[in-house]
Amino acid sequence: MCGRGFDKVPSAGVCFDCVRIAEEERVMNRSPVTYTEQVAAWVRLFKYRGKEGLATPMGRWMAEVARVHYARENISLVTFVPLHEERLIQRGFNQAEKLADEVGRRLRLPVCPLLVRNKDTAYQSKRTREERLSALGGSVILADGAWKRHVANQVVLIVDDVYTTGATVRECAKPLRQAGVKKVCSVTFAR
Amino acid sequence: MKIALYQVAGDEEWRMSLAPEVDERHWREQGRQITWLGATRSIGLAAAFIRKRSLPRHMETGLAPLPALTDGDWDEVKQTGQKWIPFLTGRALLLEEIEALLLKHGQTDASERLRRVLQWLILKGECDMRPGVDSARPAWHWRCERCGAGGSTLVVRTCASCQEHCVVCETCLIMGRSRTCAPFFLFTKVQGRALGAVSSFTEVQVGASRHSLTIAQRRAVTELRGHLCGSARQVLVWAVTGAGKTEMMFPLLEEALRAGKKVAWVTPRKDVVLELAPRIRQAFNSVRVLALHGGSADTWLTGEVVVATAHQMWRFAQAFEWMVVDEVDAFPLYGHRALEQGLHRALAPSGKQVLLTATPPAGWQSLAKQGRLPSVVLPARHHGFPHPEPRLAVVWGLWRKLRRNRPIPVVEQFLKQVEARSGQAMLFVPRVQDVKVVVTWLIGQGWPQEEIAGVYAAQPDREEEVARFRDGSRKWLVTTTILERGVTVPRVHVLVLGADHPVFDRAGLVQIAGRVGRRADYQEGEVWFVAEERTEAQIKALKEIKRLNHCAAKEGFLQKEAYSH
Repeated sequence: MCGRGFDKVPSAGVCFDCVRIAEEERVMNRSPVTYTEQVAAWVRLFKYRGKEGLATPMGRWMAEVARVHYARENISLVTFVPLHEERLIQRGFNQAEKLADEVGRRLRLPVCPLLVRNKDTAYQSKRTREERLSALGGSVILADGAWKRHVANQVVLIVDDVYTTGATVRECAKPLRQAGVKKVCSVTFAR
Repeated sequence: MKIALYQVAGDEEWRMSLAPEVDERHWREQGRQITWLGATRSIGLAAAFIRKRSLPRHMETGLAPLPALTDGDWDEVKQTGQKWIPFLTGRALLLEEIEALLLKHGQTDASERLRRVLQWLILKGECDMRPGVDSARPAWHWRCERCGAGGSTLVVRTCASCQEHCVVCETCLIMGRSRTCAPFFLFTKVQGRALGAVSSFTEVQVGASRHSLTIAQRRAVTELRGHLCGSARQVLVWAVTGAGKTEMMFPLLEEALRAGKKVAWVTPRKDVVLELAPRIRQAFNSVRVLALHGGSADTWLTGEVVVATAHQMWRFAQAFEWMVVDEVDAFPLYGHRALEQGLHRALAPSGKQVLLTATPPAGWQSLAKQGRLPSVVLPARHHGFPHPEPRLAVVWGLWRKLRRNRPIPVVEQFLKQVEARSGQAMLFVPRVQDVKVVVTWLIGQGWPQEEIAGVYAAQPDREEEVARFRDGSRKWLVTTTILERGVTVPRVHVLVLGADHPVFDRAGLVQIAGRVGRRADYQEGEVWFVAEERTEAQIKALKEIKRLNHCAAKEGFLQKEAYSH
């Protein structure tokens, strides 16, 4: 379900993290690489140091994974995890948006900013599992320009950089499902 | 960050401001009127306007009413500014670096006060503010103000901070994003104010180094001192490997410190910084010695002596009056324009640069010969024994034989000789994948596996393996060129396998040969170059070593009596 390696999955193709989540909330995720020390260094260089050029190889890799794993899903739209406006000004770019641009270009799909963040949450990367799962409640809403008739019955692919507990991706899936999206999948660079 | 533009009455020049209320107050005190044009979101746009006089697209003309600056605020700004001058002077920083520096000095500040104080420093002439990347003109002229890089490492990105297309510098990215819309501050002494005498500096403890200089070293020091008193900005010191370059600098370092000068010791390698800083600390125990490299804890502190990697010099401007550049010809410094410019900017206008190297590039050698680059040559090693001369051997199909586990008589002979002389050996190979090939070959030829180790740059346990080789528990070390400099193992012999590969240039081969015979009590070490053919690099390296030995002999340095201390 979440894209974890099969050696860690006990049975039925759903791992012990996903089993703890209600079935209607689960989001299928796929990632090209496991979050190891080396990958963490790449992500830091990309996200915090700001080496935006890395979006191209990373996005290419993610697009390939999405193409292989979501071949039967008929994805129609690509979107990305939003960043709060203040954080965006501070960082200068949204790393998920850069990746989504590349993924969209490779898959020849439209990339739409469907989501916005309405409260500035602290860094997910500095929290424990429980904090992560509870902290985000209701922080992501549908963007002003994303009308329901546009997103209804679409299959949306959410792009992000790292998937740890999946809280961020699930939070983003909530408003999309409420808006009538048929299915939500996600692709992240690292799992 | 918002930048306001204004003009002072009776002056054509447009000025930029971080905090309009400070400018308003400053010029009012001088009895002059100012006219505001408006504010831009990016300093790059403001700078482009000043250059081209064309209004930026997103210019907000007219200013929001300025917050009133009370007398109390104004005094506070001035006092804080005075307090910050000592630790900001001589730095070249981006805004987030200033924030980090102030935090380290216990000056946590709201961004509003920071802006006001910086603007006050700009008005005082203590500081110069410019865009991180100068992109006002066509792309050919773009330049990163921080590191001086231009060309393809400057990339255009859509920027969410200024909602414009910003140019970002990827050369110095690892030290923070320098970009068009980010202001960059140079805290230089525009009026040419003399550097304050070093405050905490009382009495330099003279280490043992001074008294143990050999005659050759003393002569070189005298010569160098003469050059430094002259008008030359750069002096080249060409000393053979194992000549004791570092010790030789200590008396001069001491003199510079006594005169209250700030000193930088720059090297391209982090390992050297880590090794050298404690030695300097030991020799001069009453001065503050900083060791600066990526991830160092000393980064924002101030000290009299700064031992740093070349990249760290980007954070300084006209800060040092005396700078030693160690291993100038080594990667990544040599030929890296951005780094070289950084070194020049960090040097004070009247500063002196001493370039230390064992293998100056051919261009510098000819400059020195023509007398255009003052130079000091030290051809003798500190113990007075000659530099070992490499033996060149040609083996056909060397790599084929190594891969197929065939015997190679020359190499066998070398290995047996090392054993007979109870030494250790470093086997240099050109590429990372060759390390494994040679290790396998050694094992296949019946050499005990536990005595063999292989190292390359990206290896996780590289330091432990080298340490094991140093303490003698490994006899054979197969390595890439990472160990060509700065390694001293007393009983070492050297074999270069595939010396015809382009990674082994003249300088590299001379350095590698210089690993051998560094200790007076073990002079049996030998250097062999094994290759499929003789290359120019090998022949030139041999010639250079021979020439320096000849030079040393002629000057009488290769005699025992010259080394009675």
